[in-house]
Amino acid sequence: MHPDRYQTKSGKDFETFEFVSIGKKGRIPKIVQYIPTNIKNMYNLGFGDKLPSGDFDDTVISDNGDSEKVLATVVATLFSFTDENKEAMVYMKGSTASRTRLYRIGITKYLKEIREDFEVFGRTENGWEKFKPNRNYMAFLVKRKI
Amino acid sequence: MNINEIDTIKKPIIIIDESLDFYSGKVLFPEKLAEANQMLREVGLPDFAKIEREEREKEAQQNTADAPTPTD
Repeated sequence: MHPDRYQTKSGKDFETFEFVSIGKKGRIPKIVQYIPTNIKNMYNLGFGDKLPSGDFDDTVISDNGDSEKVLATVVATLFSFTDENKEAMVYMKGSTASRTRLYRIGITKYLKEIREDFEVFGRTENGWEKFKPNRNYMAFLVKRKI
Repeated sequence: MNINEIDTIKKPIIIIDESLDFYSGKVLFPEKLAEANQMLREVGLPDFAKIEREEREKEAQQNTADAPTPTD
């Protein structure tokens, strides 16, 4: 297992990924799903906990003490998904303001690697702009470079 | 070469688990998707060409501002 990321499983379509967060609260299964939106080639990134009931919750705060490792794992799924879907654009917004902030932190942390292969945009009240670190964005969009 | 050199963030090792095919086509976070569709309907996509153009103009202005003042 990579020290900085969790081992990840995927279905054959590389659209649904699963990994297990391991931390102070124990083992928490996580799901990342890339699902088509109403815009061609635009996918929404969904991310949350897989509950014992079999349902999914993207609002729960797991507080497992491993947010950096979880973020790195989600970023890795982004690379895997877009490797299989090179024309895909991915829209991401947290289910809560703090989750959106977490996405911003993750993008900023891996910005160098992400920018090698993606164009990254952030949404402000005035519309979309090229992503700048440490700015408060409402949502994000990444597009694989041609 | 050790496994961590192969298993990079850009080319992570992914285990195929066919049980996850069960979720193919199923929307696991429907509220999130509805919200995304709503937002994209309202705001639309980025104007990629325009943003690129504006960034290049900003960079050009910055380069002009940073350029040393010629002296006679």
